[in-house]
Amino acid sequence: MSANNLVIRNLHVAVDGKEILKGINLTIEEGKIHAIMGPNGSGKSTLAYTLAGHPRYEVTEGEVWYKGQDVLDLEPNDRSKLGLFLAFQYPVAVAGVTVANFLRAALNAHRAQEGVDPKSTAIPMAEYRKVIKSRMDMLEMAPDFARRYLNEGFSGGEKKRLEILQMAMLQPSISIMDETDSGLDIDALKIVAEGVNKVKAEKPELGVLVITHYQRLLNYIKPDYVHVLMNGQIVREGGPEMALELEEKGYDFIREEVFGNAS
Amino acid sequence: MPANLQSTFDVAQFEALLASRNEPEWLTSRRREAWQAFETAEQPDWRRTNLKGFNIADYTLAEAEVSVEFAGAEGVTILPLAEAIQSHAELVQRVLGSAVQTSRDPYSALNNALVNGGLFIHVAKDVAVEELVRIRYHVAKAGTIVAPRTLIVTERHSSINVIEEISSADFDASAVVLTGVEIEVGDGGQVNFSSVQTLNNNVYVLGSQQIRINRDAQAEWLNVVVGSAVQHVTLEANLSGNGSSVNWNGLLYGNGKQNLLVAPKLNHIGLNTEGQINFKTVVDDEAYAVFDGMVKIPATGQGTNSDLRENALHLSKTSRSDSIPGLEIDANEVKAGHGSTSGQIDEEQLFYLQSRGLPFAEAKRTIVLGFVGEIIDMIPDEAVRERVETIVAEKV
Repeated sequence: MSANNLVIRNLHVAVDGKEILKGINLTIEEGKIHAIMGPNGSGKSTLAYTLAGHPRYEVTEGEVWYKGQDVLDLEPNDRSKLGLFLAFQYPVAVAGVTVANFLRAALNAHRAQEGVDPKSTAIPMAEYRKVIKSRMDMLEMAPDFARRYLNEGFSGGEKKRLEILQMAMLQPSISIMDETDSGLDIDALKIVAEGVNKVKAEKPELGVLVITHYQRLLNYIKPDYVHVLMNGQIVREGGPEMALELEEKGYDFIREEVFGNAS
Repeated sequence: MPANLQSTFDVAQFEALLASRNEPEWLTSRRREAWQAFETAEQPDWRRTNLKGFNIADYTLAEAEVSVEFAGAEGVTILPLAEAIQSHAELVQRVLGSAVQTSRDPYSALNNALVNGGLFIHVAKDVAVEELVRIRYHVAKAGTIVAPRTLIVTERHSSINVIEEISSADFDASAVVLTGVEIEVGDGGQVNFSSVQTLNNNVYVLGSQQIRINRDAQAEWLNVVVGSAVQHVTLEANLSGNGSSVNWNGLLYGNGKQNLLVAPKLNHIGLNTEGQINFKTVVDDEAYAVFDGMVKIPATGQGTNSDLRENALHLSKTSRSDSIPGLEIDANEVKAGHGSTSGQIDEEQLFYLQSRGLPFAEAKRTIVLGFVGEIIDMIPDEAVRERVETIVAEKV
């Protein structure tokens, strides 16, 4: 098995002492698009935050391996440097920090090497301007976007586009999209999905984990695999056709099959 | 028992000051009156300003070094205050003492008794000045007390931008600045005034600033405080004229043992006035910062639109800040909002930045610099802004 697959084994996670994930086993393959679908409260976002290292999520058991390292041992910033990226469901506003300055700091953090003067590894300003311009052009973003404060006063669509811009700049090898479709109208959804597809087309080895409640996003980001998360466990796995089946029948039929009743 | 101030400052220094200046009778008598008030006063009951160990007798009266950068423009008069007292007696007599009020407290009285430097700026009617006027008062020596005063009077339909920095050399013993800013904005005009305090961390600053805004006039007011050991400065925006407005921003950044206080007061006196206050506070180490705010809307202030915001960030367990957003409303047709927050750095912000690769310390620094940067970016002079940024970068 490739070290470039992200392997989650028997992952148990608690929040404020309450167990939310109850033994997740999942492999995100290099270059593949995986969708995790599930009803509200099934643990989808918990999985996303846990993989990114949010301190509120306590791993009580299990492991996550990527590129030969146990990801759970790493600080959130080191996970980012390893190639993990989380597109937030609710991106956080940071007043006074411009998009352009923040992205430069993030890029430089990725380029920094231990024991080496960070000035010598920092991206030269001219090169940075070129890179951010080309990425923003690719995502059809107006230049003034870069001068705004991070998510401050952004519309839902703008926030999600900024997440995709960050992904395009940082060039991760595993990208987790946490309910990227939530709060978007169909036009905004298409723009965001197109952005993801462009980034993926440029970097075919990118593994993607799309977390979503609804099937509609999967019309635009076509998954290779679909996993159904329910009550903290993966209860079904299949191909893209499963998303359509879920759209048609809802989650209840699986709940009945797995847990015996549709309560 | 508060100590009596009577013996704390050398009367000979005061008499020498009077003798050295050939001032008109009205001013001499005001000074004597102020001195009298100071001499008979007791230590003020300032619960949020630590004057322990502060003895006014330890200081010798001196003048701050004054510098002015301004190319000059038709209709603009900038004079040393001592000259303006002679040449613009009527205006000076009217405005001097409007912010620094002898009756307020003993150090305001002392300020009025000793005022010994400063500048007078006058803009004639219908004159719009584009160029920024840069003023700097610099305290060169430890052990001195200086009392510079800035007066700005603009006639109707005129406008001017002024930045005043109070700075000091980097000495280890203390000094005292008795500060005062007194501004009158003429009808339909605009004054943008930025006050930036970058004193070294051994200096005491005591004083008052006031802007009176007349009919349909506007003010942009910025107060940035990053220096001094102890600051106690009252600030007052008087929206005196109908339709007047003020947009007022500020920053206090204290670390070490700094004790920084501002007491902004917004008075909506006229009809249909508008005022926004937005202050930010950062405290670290054992610093203590105080925002003692007050919005007053008397019965005359119908149609007022007022908003007061104050946000404080605590970077250490031993730092403290007090926020007192007061509101007194005696008019019925008004809109008045206020809000204040105080807390540590937001965990979600930290995680968001870390998840993009920034190490914890850099994420924290980025958030703090962003928080203060919103205000620092408003400083209109690049050199002053850079000095503030340097001081802040050393604090974070």
